Amino acid sequence: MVNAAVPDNAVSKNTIRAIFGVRVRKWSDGSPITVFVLPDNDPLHERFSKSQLNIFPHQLRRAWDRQVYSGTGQAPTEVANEEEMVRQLSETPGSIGYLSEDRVVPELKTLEIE
Amino acid sequence: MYCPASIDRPARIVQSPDTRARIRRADLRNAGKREDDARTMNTKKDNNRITPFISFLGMALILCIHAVPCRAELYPGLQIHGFLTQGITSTSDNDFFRDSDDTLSFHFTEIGVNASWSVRSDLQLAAQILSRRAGRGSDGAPDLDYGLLDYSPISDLNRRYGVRLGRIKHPLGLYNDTRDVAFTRPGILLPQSIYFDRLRDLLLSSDGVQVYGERITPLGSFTAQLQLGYPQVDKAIEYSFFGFDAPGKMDGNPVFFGRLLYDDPSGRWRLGFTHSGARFDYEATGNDFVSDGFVYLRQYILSAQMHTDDWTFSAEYLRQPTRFRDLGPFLPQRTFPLESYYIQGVYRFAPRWDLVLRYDAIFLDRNDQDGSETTSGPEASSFARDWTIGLGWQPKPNLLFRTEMHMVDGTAWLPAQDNAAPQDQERRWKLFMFQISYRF
Repeated sequence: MVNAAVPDNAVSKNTIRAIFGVRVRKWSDGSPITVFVLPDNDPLHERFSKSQLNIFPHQLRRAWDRQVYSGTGQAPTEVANEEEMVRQLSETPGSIGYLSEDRVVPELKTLEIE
Repeated sequence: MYCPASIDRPARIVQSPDTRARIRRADLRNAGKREDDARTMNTKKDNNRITPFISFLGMALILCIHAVPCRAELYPGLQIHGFLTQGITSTSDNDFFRDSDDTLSFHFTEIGVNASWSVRSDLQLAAQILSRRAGRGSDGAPDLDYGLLDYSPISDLNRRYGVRLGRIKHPLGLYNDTRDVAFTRPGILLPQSIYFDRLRDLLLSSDGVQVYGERITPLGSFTAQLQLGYPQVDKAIEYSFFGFDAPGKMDGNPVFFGRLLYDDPSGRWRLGFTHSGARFDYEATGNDFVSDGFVYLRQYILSAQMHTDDWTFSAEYLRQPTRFRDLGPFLPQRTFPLESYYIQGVYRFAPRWDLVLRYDAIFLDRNDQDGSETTSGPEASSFARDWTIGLGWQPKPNLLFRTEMHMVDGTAWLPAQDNAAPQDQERRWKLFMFQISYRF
């Protein structure tokens, strides 16, 4: 799920993995990407990492740690639950996160993964 | 960042008046907390004027306490993180991290605090202070671990190209960038064959410039980093090369590090290649047994890592030819063809638990793996084969316990400063370690 102001409608699997790994940081029009995630041990985070990103939560954590503790990047912002995720995604232009299917709200956009 | 940090994080741009009001309230709340934090720190600082190190420790602790529940983003774009690690070491023979032979050594402490500020989406400032106490080679004096400006002018969904200026960690192998952060290490000690403490100062970081590029393609993702800079080397570098402290002076030229990483489209494989080069000029004093000359060191490292549901397999292979030139009859003209490698499996057998298995080997001369032809010390000082088994338990995302045992044959990576002369070292020895680490 992304904020409605995000210019892109679809991205590749490699790109979505790079977005959540904070390796790419701008949308195709150059506007900044803000990433929101749930805690590492949240079942939805685990499901999303494995099925949509094809990587394990510990790989993501390792990728963030490598950047945070070498000064080359910042970790995504962690939100406590899906309500908070919805709120942050609606309020932050250029933001990206994920929600379970029954939580999808009309003011947010769904990004296709090719 | 691993705790629900941003419940009251102020968003940068908001759309509705209702939201703006909510953000203002959040801002006020944060401002209040920031003042409280500042007051606590000031009081603590006044009580702790003993040494800069103690107040640094105190500050790290305050930050730790305040980090539960932590708010990583104190100010829009500003993040503060840190870690604290304490280890206990014991050996059956020889010494590791000071006196550990048949006794317990507590001389292994790592404390780090870092701040990063995302000024704009393409400009970031970051710095980390690190105190590392690890045997006689590292005394725990706080030092700037990295301090850099990162600018990435060319950036979109499939690429990011940029430049980093300042003190930058060397891109080397799978682990060097964060080698002092326990949470990023597989086990307590990194494989000593590749990440040897003996060359730590040279391998750690340099003051200079790094250009980098990330490219996301249908064939996978590529990361390239090229760095040129001056490393923080001191007299200890003579120990690393000569095995003793020579009377003259060793002058460093800029060192080069380059790394290419590839992540395959399945997300399971990572492959890497590192190349580095460093030349040190030796300047003899009046009555010196070493002549004016130089040491030229190159490294070639192949890295591979693979993930399955329960396992992470890693392997790295290093070739490191070190050339001695014109150093006089005592250090004759020659090339040391060092070879080393390790293979490692981390098995996550239960949630929050892992088992580490590793075989790690180093040969200072790859044509003389049993050391029988060595002229620079006992046979066992020219190689080391290390079988490691370790256990990790992470009861909380920010708390980690580890223990491990090394069964070592050879003394090639035994810290020279902690040990007696090589001929008095035991060839076969065991190393037991325990470690607790906290981060925020």
